[in-house]
Amino acid sequence: MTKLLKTKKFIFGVSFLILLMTASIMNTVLNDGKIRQAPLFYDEKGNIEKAPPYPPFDVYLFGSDMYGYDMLHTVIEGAKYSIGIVLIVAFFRMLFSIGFSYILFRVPERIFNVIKAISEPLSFFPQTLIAYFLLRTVVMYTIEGFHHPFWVRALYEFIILIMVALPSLTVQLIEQKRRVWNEEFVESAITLGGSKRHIYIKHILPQLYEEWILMFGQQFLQVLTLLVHLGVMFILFGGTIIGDGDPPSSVTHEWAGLIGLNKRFMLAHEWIVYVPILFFTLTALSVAMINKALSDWFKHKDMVRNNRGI
Amino acid sequence: MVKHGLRLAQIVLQYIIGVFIFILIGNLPILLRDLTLDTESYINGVKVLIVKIFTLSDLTYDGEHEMLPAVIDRYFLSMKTLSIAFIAALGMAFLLSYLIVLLFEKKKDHILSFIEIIRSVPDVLWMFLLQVFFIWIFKAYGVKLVQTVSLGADNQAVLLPLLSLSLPIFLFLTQIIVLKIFEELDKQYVTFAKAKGLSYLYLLNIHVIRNIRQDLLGHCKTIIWMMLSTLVMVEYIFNMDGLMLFNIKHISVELFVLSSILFFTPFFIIYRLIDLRRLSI
Repeated sequence: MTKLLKTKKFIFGVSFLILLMTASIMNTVLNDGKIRQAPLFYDEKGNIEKAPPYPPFDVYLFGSDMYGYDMLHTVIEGAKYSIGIVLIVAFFRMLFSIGFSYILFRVPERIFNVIKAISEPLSFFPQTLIAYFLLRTVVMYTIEGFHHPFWVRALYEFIILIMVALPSLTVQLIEQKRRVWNEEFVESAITLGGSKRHIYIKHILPQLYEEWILMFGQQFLQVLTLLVHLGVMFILFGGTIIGDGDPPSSVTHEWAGLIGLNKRFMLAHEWIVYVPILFFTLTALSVAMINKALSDWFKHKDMVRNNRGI
Repeated sequence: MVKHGLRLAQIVLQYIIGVFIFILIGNLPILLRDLTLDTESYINGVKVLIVKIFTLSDLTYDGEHEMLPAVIDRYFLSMKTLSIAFIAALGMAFLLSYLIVLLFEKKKDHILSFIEIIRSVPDVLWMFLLQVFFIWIFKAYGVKLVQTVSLGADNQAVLLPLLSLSLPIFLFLTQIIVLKIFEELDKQYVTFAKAKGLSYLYLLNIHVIRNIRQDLLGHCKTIIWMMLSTLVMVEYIFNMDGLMLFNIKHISVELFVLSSILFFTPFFIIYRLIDLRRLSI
């Protein structure tokens, strides 16, 4: 454990995420979720000297958006939503597929092949487009407004984001479990009269939980990418409001939303788009670093264990 | 012979299952319209669509325009981009892996973990960065090196979409190739071959590459999946007139189902061929 904590990658990744999350939550608790704003600057004669959007390093470190709101502050405020959404989706993806694979992993080879045949087509078509298609056709703003309250739309989006990956993930987990199930020690455990659940908990889980932790990290990255894609394509969390002449709005300052909303400033005020993407990237990098450190650590632990055995 | 026939029938059945699944998914919006479970019109929609897909008639993308002529050209553009990007990525990956294996053997752990971490950067960032870089060059020096975004038929962006499409795969492939080459170099036959006096390059080119090919084919599915995901964003961001962008612009059940089947078909065939090869060895 101490070896893990001493890894530079791990320290960097964890501290970045913790710092970001704490700052984000504190902003809501202490600051009531308000965001720093610099309206117009006037010189002595009362003429407008500077007007938003301010470029980076001018008024604020990361610049400001069209209304003078500090980008860094906005991104930090949105962090808990973005990271929270990704965490929840990745967690439930893992949970459901572990559950399904537990039910299904002992099925005969023939049925397993059918399951594989069903899940395979989905991996030949981009998740982004499937999610886009299902979200766009169901939760869109119409002339009469949204048909459903916010939580229904959010729930629907969660369900889609989770379901999109379930088939392939479940098959992957089933394959993993079947691999362990065919090992010799499981066979002897069966001979000794262990029930399926006993063998699962005592023999298979300890073999697999490390892989699951790493898979969780990978899923986190996948969901993050998916969310960026959807954000760029204008699907905001909880549905997109288009029309009325006003620009579409993202109430929570969630990052994907920020990218989608500000994409029209791409060429003139590019930093408005880059700051959320930069933070997406930093989050992805930190998770990748944590994952890498963990996998190194697991390998090291295995090596130590094997050497002790000899 | 009977066995082969059975295998073929299985594959055809699998293909048909795939098509059905796309039809079922594609019709989900009808089932979920306004989040009410409208099973009746869902089943109806599925039935109608099955007939349309299997006879390839009456397909329209916005209710009036004929689908096939509009789709085929865009589909080939998408597939062309995909394959060129893939070949480019494979070539570059082999080059870089050889460089790493031959020159930086001692530093390979650092390089590998660097690649693994940098791989997690969302592909969208690469695209935006490339665009901004070339726009910056244009602004600073007035030289228009490449078209950064497609505007009309005369100004097609070609290089940047290919670059940004191949970049993630390139990193992924490099990581796998280097890892596998070093794994292979640890094996006993390599020591034997060295003892026989074979040169290092000969060993690498002939024996190691032949052995890691199987592993690379095993990763084929992941690579295809990654490329398709990226392709959606590439077409959207660079405004390339491919099938993915067409799907984003015209949201319709029939278009979605047809294009997913179109993308599914070649990859399904390729994947089955790979399976066949792997089984026969």
